[in-house]
Amino acid sequence: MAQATDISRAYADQFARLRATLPGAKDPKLSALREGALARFAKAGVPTPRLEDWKYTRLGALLDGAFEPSSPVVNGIGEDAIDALSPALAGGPRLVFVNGLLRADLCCLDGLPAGMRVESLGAAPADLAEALADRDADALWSLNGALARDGAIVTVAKDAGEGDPLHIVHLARPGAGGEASHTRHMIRIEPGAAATVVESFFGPDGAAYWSNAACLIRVGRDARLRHFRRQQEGAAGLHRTAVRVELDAGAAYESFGLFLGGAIGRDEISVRFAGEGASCTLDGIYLGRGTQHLDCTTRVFHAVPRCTSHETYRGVLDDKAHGVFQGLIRVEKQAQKTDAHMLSKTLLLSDRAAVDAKPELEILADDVQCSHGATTGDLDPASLFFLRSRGLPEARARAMLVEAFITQMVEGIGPDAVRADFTAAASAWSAGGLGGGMTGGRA
Amino acid sequence: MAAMVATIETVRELSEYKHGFVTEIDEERAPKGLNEDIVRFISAKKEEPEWLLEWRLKAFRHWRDRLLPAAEPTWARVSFPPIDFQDSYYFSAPKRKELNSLDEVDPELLATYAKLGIPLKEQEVLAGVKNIAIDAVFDSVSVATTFKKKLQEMGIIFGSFSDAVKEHPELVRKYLGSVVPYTDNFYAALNSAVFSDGSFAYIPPGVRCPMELSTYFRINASNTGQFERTLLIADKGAYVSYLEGCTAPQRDENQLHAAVVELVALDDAEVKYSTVQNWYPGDAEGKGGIYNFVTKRGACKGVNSKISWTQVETGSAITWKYPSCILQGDNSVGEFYSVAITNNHQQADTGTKMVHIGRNTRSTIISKGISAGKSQNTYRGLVRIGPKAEGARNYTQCDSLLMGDTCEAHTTPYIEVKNRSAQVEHEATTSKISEDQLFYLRQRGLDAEDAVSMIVNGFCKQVLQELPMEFAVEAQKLVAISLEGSVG
Repeated sequence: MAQATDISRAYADQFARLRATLPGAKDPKLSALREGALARFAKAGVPTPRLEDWKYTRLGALLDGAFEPSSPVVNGIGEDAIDALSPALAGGPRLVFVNGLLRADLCCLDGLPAGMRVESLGAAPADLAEALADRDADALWSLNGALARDGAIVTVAKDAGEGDPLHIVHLARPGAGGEASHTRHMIRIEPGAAATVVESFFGPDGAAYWSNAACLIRVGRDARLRHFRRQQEGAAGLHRTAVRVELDAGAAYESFGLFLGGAIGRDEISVRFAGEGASCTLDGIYLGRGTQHLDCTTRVFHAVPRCTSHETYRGVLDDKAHGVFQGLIRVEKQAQKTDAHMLSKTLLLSDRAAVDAKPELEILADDVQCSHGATTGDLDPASLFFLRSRGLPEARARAMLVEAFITQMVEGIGPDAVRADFTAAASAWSAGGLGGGMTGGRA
Repeated sequence: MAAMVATIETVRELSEYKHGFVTEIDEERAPKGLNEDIVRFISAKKEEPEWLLEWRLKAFRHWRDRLLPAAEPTWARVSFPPIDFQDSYYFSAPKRKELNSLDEVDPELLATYAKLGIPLKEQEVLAGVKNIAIDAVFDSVSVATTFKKKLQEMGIIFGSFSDAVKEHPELVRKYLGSVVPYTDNFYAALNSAVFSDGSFAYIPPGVRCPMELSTYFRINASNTGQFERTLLIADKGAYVSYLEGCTAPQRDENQLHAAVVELVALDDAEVKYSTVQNWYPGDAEGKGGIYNFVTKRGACKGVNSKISWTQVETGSAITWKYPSCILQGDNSVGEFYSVAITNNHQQADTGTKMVHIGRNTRSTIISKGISAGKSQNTYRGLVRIGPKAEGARNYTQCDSLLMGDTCEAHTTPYIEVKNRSAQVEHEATTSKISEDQLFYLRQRGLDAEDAVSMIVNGFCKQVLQELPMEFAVEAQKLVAISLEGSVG
């Protein structure tokens, strides 16, 4: 294992090499912002399981050395290839990032909902300072801030109605391996508006690469955002998404994640209530097999009164897969009348699969209703017996129950196209077979 | 409102720490500070064999060289000024200690126990009626042991740890540190180096201990850290129920208490360990109070063995305590029932660890936390299912009740499952007493105080009913005294 200081130095060299080409390079304020982020990363280093927050997730190759910036030039990807990744969403408005850079030739902005404005990080100098914010950041967020070459800035104008989902596709095309892309998105929903955004992450099996995505979300007064994430990185991919959400009064934020790719994947979402009467729903399902490590970490900060948060996460783990669910609900002293609930359910399908769960409550107010629940186990023997007594062979009965467990989550997805897309991805996973399949996602 | 004011007054009187008195008694003390010589001094004073001194020294060196440089653990959600471990006395013992009967006990000491409500003499007289043997620990050395003979007839060994070292060195040597090794954690290492005394019990195969074994711990001499060491062994098919109750005199200076309790249950054995902890919590401003940093752990080494922890924690300025079960034997059972109440400036970080190793091991965790005043109450628990724990089962329920908006309740469970046939369920809730419940009771004529008391008792019932009769009464009183002041 390389010394943490060597890794930090390597990233600092990278930054020195790239800085002139990064968006906002000519603005001294932005340069200072990026330098600050790099310094914060250098101080903290790549997180290790010694940190309470990373107790259950070891970032493997990221601790062995610095990942080089991924190649900006990638040929031979057509629109058809992108369509094929999510047929149900094809034809709708979409942005495509290959190796962390926006590919205008693959984007489709025809059906962009009225009131939705989309820009790339480099084309929106006025918004850069906001998008690159680095307050209360962890080391990987800071590194992303220092090195982000591109990203999407999505703004939905006041009172704009909800149109078709905007699909943001992230595609990795690693070369020799050991390459990283750091994308930084910002989504702002202005008061009274509504929108749906789907983020997808794909990559090929084979070489190891790192996708380090960060997304900053602000949902204005009485506005609504539905945010979906599909993580289907390649079998050797390392994936880390950090989503930071701030909700104004009366705002609603719904998140749903489907995590089934990568060698190591961590999806981190933190929601901060900044105005009264807002609500959020955080749902997710992680499907792991082979030696995959999938980590879902959520944090909900109730800082003001009368907000509601609901979380449901489910996991299905086969082979030697390792799942992690960490959920924190913190209710500040002034956040009276908070209603916060969290539930985590995990199915272990193999003798060598494992799960670690840490659902935490930190409550400083008294007039609240907060709860969390967590269950782990194999399929219910009674249900299994019921199906087998109807003549189904055990393997078939097990597959049906697993599929039902997954479907219960996926069928709740609102927008038809997204539900179809996620259902197809989950079914494809199930079709990979239980107790033997070894691959994650493919592109 | 007048009624409310009157209630608050009453409660204030009630919540004054009634066990806050100091007994004047001659004592023998080791010099202040901690070094190898002090460890040797303690060992020599207690006329210990060479192997035990060696063990203490190993523990001390481990603590000094490995643990002290990294300082005390900070992961618990408690805060306190750094402890100067050199600014404490590590040994103090009442001078007279060779006793043949209770008559020889220092009358002042007996009076102290009387004030605490343990009529020692009376118990001997009433032996046939109320079978409680008390191995009373006054500060560090056991001075009176009752019923020893009666237990001896059954082959049960029950007495002070020091006596056990002299009379049954083979048992002590075999089991000391087998559940909590001296390398286990900061305070366990410290305890292993300087432990003064404690209780020892051995229940031979097939014997069901006919009475509840019981110990009353008191911290007496000012500035004396208390380092109890308790070791209970239930041999094959044995059963024992052990009660531990704590009160301490009122002091301004914080006092460190770092005890270690080790339980061993062999095949088919059962150990039930109940604690009521009511040490001085500090005054209403958070001044003074005991630091209670305890390592309690039981090993279900045998098949079908069972260890059950029940605790009612109302005292101490800071509590740092995780009574745990290592479920090694197949079909072994671990239980943890806890009520933790914090008021004023108290801080409690408490919970349990259930480590499932054997097949078909089962564990139940019921934790009730109640926070009032400006206190902090944290449940921290671990349920770990090992890869070989086929058919393991855990059920965890932790509920927190908040009284007022200046206190905090936290829940930090860790669930680690490495076996698919294991079934693990965890539930936690946090809320305040509902207005509806209060209204319902009040419109039936109960005043606010009684209504709250009734609801809180109901909240704790699942745990309190696990306590042996002798403790249930004291516990209910404690719950009432600790909490009623915070209503309104």
